[in-house]
Formats: sequence, structure tokens, C-alpha cells
Amino acid sequence: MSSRSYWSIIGSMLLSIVFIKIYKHNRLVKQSYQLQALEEKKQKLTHKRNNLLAQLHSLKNPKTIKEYVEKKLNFKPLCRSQVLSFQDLPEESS
Amino acid sequence: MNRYEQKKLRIGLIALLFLILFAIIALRFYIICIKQQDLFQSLAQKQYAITTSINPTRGYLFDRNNQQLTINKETVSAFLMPKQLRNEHKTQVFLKKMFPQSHAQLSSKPNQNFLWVQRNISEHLQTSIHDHNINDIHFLEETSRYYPCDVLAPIIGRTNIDNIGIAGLEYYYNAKLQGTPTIVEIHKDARGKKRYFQHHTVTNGHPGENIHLSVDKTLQFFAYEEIAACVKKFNAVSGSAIIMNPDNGEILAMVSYPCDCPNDAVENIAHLKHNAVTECYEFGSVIKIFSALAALEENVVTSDEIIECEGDSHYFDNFKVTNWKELHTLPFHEVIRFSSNVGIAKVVSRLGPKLYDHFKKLGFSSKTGCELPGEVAGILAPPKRWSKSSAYVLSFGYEIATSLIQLAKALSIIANDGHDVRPTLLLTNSKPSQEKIYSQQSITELKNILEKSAHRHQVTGYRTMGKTGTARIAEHGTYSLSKHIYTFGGIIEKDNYRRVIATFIKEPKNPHLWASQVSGPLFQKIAQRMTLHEHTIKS
Repeated sequence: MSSRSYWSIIGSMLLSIVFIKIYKHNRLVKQSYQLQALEEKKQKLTHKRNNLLAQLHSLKNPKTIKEYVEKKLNFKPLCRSQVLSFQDLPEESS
Repeated sequence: MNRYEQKKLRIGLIALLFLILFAIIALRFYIICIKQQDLFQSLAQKQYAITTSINPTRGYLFDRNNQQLTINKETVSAFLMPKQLRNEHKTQVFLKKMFPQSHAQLSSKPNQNFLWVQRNISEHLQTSIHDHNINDIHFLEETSRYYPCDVLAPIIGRTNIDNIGIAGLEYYYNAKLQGTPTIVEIHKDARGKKRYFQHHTVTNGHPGENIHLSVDKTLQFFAYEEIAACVKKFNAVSGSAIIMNPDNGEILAMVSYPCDCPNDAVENIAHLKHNAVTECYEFGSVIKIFSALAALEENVVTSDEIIECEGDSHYFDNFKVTNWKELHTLPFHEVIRFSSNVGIAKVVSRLGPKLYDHFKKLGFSSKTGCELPGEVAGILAPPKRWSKSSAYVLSFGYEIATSLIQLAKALSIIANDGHDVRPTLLLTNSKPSQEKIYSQQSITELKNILEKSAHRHQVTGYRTMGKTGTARIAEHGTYSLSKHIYTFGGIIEKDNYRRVIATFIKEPKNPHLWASQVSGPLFQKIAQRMTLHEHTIKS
């Protein structure tokens, strides 16, 4: 092999290594930006979830439930006297 | 020199010039990259590397049925940087109109680096800022707490605008709930944004821990409703109730009325504390339960022993003790049932200073260790500081100031057949080991006495035991004639199911009432709703 070809091959290899390094760095930067964008998206979804959880648990508040069932469904509070247990039932006479 | 040689000379000189220039560049290169490597590396680090702390999510509070009681919500806060205002006049005018307080702060200190416009700003105001194109006002997201169940406010407490606990369990367990931040070193990009290409964790933090409470959210609501209704009915100043499991000390509900909604700004700082824990009173006749227990345990009386109650009053060492009505000879269990001060004073006089030891054993004048801040120990003078009348008045609940939680604890000792118990707001998975401090015989006799005493406030289907207490409130060194506190301490029992309920209503408008008209029915209503919830709806 002539020395010219030899140096051309060496030069090409070095250039390739340099380009691969640059490409690798660019990919890393690009993926880091993508990661950051996904993390921001995750944060937004977490915020949305927290807001929905707040709404859900507000609806589960006994005060809210009571207001709804009394006003919309016309429920009345249950009294102890309305609940019978087996001991309360009269004994059947033989 | 011919033209060719001149040309060669010129080329040589230009080449030499370029060589010198390149040599200078190479030398400069050498100086920057090799000689001053450390300096430029640190400058670059300062430019793109920053240390930031990532705060962990604040831990949640759950009730005993795993219902979430606290939620972390994101809020937006507005700020501006006074030294970097681009349109100062427009911003000033806007601030003066919409945020006068911030405008005043800006005017007084125009050279500060940072100024909050408003924290936790509403969406409406955010829109207004956008609509007016006030670019000098920036927004920042912050985490805050939201409490979906406001009746639990006195127990859970609240956090401040910086999400640090300032009352209740949020304050007591702030360190546990907050966790520790993770400190991370990250790189900024050319726009100065924190887009990290690589990050290095300097300190590993810990996430906030969740806490599971023994409280039942629904029971708390029921008890709160009844207390609120009772306070409103009698135009009282305040009320409180505790529902406790005497077997393991778990507090199922603990109401303090009035209380503020923890999602709103603090209106009354007094409402941040729980009055069942932070206030102590002389509860009056309800203390007769424990005087009777002491007398039975020391075998100085039996429940059938006939006691002469001397009509409406009697003098003990020139000190007058009065009954609430004329009472004469009664068996001891009727002395408790009819709440004779003379009768109980006569029995307790047989105990002497031992009464103090029993009160201490039951936990009076000692903090229970409940997980709320500001707990008071109460007042109980030792025998060496007693006056001639102390032993008598102590027997029916004066000269002893206790908190409602101490009363609930003492009742729990009776309810669980004489075992010591520690009230707790945390869910306990196992029954704690408890020392037996009272004999079964004394407890059984006392329970029979209390069953008769609570005959007017029975709960159908359950063994109901209890005692009322009507007491005057001490004010300016004397007992007020117009201010009273009405208490009921009761036990509900059926097979293995046991609950203690202690309530008080403070200062109803009408001073001519008795506890059997105020706190007795209140106890009964709470007990009925509790048994319905625990034994019917829930099961």
C-alpha cells in the first residue's frame, strides 16, 4: 500500500471517529430534551391528577354527601328506633 | 535580486508572518487549555452547573378506613423582580389598582431583588394579569395542602403558605410528613433553563411518610353535627366530644367546636387548637365516678351501704357541702345515681389522701401523650397543699381541673375492666400491653352503679353506663353564677364491643340548666349514631 493511501485511510478513520462522537453527543442532548419534555408532561398530569383527587375527596366528604341525599334524593336521617335487631323481635308464642 | 527571488522572499515573509500568528494562537491555546485549565473549568461550571434541591411530596394523612384526609395541590404564586422591570409605569399602575399591598411594598423598597405580588393567586387574577399584558409579573408553581373533610380540622391542623405544618398533626408530625429534599447538581443549557444533560445527586433525600390515623371520618362528622346542633340549641360558647376504643386507646372521633375550615385563611387563632386537649376544667359531678372507684377499690364502701345524705346540706369541719336537692338515706349506688355531694364527700372522707393517689393513677393532672400539640396536664394539688375542704370538694369534681381527653382515658380504664390505656390518634395494628391497675370486683360494682346512673340516656340494645356533671366555671377567683360547663362521661358495651364517649358543652346562655338536659341527650344522640354506623351501616 502506498503511503498516500495509508494516510488517507488513517485520516478517514479519524474523521469518522470525530463525526461519531459529535453524533453521539447530539443524540444525548436531543434525548435529554425529550426526557425533560416528558418530565414536564408528567408534572402537568400529576397536577391534573391532584386536582381530580381533590374533587373526588371533596365529593366523599360526609357533609357533601348528606347535603346531596337530603336535597336531591329526599333522604331522611335514620333513627335508632327504626332499626330492629333480632333481640328486639317479639318471641313467637308456642 | 531578480523578480523570481523577490517573489520567493515575499512568500517567505508572509509565511513567516502566518507562522508567527499561528505560534501566538498556539501559545494562547496552551495558556488557556493547559496553564489556566482550572480557572476556566470553574468559570464554565459556574455558568452551566447549578445545585438545586428537589422537595419530596408531602406525606398524606389517612383515616382508619384508608380515606385520604389531605391532598397536595399545586397553586400559582405571582412575583416580580423590581430591579428588572421593563415597563415600570404600567406595572406600578396595575399593582396600585389590583394589588395595593404589593404596590406599597414596592414603593417603600424599589431596589429589592424579589417581591411577592400574591401567593396562592386565584385563576381570575392570573387571567387579569395576562389580559393586561403585565410582562413584569411572573408566575411560580407552589405546592399547598387541601383538606376535603373540614370537620377534622382541629385534629389534622393545617399548613402555612410555605407548606409547613403550623397546627394539629400537620405540626406535630411536620418532619415526618415533609421528608428531606434531594440535592442534585444539574447543567443548564444556553437559554439558562434547567434542562439537564447529566445530573449528579449530591444528597439523597427521603420522601414524606404517610400517616394512618385511628379516626373514622364518618364518625367524626356525626359527632361534629350533634355537637354543633347542641351548641346552637343552647346558645353555648363551645363544645367537644371524644369517642374512644377503651381496649387499645384508639380515638375514633374527637370534635372541637367551633372550628374554622382549614382551606380558608385563619380567622380565629384560638380555633387552631383542640379544646379537648388544650383546655382543662373542673367537670363537677362526673368526677364522682372516680371517687366511687377509689372508695370501692380501697374497700371503704360497698354499693349497697346506706349513706345518710343529710337533706340539702351538711357541714364538714365548718365547710358547707350542699346537695342539688333534698336527699336523705340512700344506698351508695343511689348516691351516685342521684349525685349527692354530701353522700360522696362522706364516703371519700374515709379515704383521706389516698384519693389523690387514685386520681393520679387514673391519669388526672398528667398529660396523656396524645399526638396533638399544646396538651395541658391539668391541675390537682397534692395532699400537702390541701385545705380542710379539699378532700370533700375533690370528691365531687372541684379543685381538680382536667381535660376531656384525661376524662376519656379514665373512663376507658373502667370500660376495659381496669387496664391502663394510652389514648392515641394513630392506627394501632396490635393491642398494646396494658397493666391492670384496678380489680375486677371494683370495676364490676362500679359498672353496675353507672348503669343505673345513666338510666335516662340509654341506647337501645346496648349496656349504657355513665354520669352527668354540672359545674360552675371559675372566673376572677370565684365561681361564676352564670357560666357553667355540662359534661357527660359514658360507656357503651355489648359483647366484645366497647366504646367510651365523653362530651362537654361550655357556657350555654341559660345558666339554669342541668347536664341531664344538655350533655346527657347529646351523649345519647352521639351514641345512637355511632352504634348505627358501626353495627348496621358499616357492617
